[in-house]
Amino acid sequence: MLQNVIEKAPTQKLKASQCNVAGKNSRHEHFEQVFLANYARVLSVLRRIVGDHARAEDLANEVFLKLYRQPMPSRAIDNVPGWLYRTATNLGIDALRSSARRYRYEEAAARAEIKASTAESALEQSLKLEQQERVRTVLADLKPVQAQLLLLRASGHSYKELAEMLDLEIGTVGTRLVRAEAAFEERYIELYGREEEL
Amino acid sequence: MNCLSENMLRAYHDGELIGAERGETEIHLSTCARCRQQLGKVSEMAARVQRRLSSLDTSDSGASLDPQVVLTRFQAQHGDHEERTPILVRLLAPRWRPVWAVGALGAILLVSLAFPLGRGLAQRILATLRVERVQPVRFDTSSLDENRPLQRMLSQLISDKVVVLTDEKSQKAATLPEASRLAGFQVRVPHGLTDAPQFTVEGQLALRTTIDRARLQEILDQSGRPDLLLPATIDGETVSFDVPRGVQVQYGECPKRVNQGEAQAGNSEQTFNCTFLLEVPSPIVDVPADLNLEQLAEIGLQLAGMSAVQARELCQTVDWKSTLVLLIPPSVRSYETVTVDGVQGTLMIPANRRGPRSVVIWVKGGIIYWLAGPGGSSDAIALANSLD
Repeated sequence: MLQNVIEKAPTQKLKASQCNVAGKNSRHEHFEQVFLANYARVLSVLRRIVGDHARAEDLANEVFLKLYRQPMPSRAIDNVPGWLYRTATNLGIDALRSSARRYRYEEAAARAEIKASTAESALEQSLKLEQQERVRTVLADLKPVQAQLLLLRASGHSYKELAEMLDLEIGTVGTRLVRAEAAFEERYIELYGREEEL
Repeated sequence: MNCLSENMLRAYHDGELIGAERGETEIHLSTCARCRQQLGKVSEMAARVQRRLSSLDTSDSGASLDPQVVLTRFQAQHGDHEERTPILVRLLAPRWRPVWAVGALGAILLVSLAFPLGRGLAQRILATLRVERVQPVRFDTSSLDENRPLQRMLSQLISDKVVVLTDEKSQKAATLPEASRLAGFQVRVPHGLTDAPQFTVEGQLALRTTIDRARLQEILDQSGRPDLLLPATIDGETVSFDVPRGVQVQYGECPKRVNQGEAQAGNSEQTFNCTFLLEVPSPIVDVPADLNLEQLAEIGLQLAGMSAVQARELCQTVDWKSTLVLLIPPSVRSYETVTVDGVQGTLMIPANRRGPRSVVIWVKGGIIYWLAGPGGSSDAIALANSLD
């Protein structure tokens, strides 16, 4: 299960005031701390969303660049890790939505490559790629906030963390998850039929 | 006990209930077949979707990058931006406020649509908006100022969506010809002022954004206007802004913030003794040709506080492809349309007595002029009319 693979989200809370302490050195140091503590996990989340590692790296770079050049008043960020995940999933979902067609090419290219493998593992990999492509297509079709909620929950974030990241009332997270899942299933069935267990 | 809500069932399934809440839920479940059945449905759906999502799981074979190495590379690439004024702070400075209101999209829509990029240069940019005239509209920002979730949504949207394509630094110019040469247009100066002019050439700024209709609609909802529905056709469209180089000309002792376009003297108790003139060629806003500007303008104007009828009436009289919507905040005591420099302009009288006593804005020959000074309305108009 994805949940088991990914570690829980960081619980550290870096207040905005820390982000904007007077003096460049402090600001630099703070950014470095945030970068080192979160980069791997942000990259991992993006990799799951977009699939392609190089693309995920580009997007992770963009996430940290946005933080680096954070234009808004410091009070806009009172939970830096939360901000990073939210921004990462936003960018990832945008990438999915804007390049759905390109992905199909990439997936096709990937499928061509696995022909060289043994027949059994090739079939397995091909099925997995097919499944990933379907899931990404459905996620790209959902309302962004629903896709984000599903991805972040699947990454092991608690209700409290989800509420903070996505600016939701904590008492509504459960309902929103149910609705997002229902929307996911509905779209999946629309596109691919009621196959297998779904 | 009433039956459990969907929210409680899902939270129970996810192990998010603790203590008494969990205990009570379990007791209820043990006695209520209906809730047990509902829990089963919720759990099954969660498991099915989870299985789908887990297919995205990767071996992360390439994730062995050392974050320290990546950080070093990152700093080498981007370290030079550290000392620059954050772009959005600059963009939201009063100097650029008219820019946000260019065209028809309305304040919030514009700030939201205002930027970035995504899909390469081969986009469907077919229509170009250029400012030719000014349309003042009262805009009460107080409800927005207090709406923290709205501010967060906007800041996040802008962070996510804005791509700055060009962001030149400003530079000083010693003389009028030098300022004109650097700016690329003939800078005009007023007559009759005894102080020497100080010229600053503001850098070019180009931005692009892709419209995310769902998130903009959420922002409208959060603004208390869920009744304003954005057309589905705008989703994914690209809007770009190009603000050419402009020139600030200052006379007298201008407070620091006026240097950045802020038309007030802050806490200074001194008499305001600064004349400030900003000249910027019309920003160019590229939008898809089939974007229904009138419809968006109506939404923007209603968001700014107009009734649906007022907004519709105004929209029918305005060509949104060439009109700068000048949002008049509550800090402006009064405003009126005046003839200035041979064209129609807007004269504003700020409420803050420590700042300039009058501000005039007009558009002539494709250049937007913004003149603020210590004199009253007749002085301001006379000064504007004296421009060479």
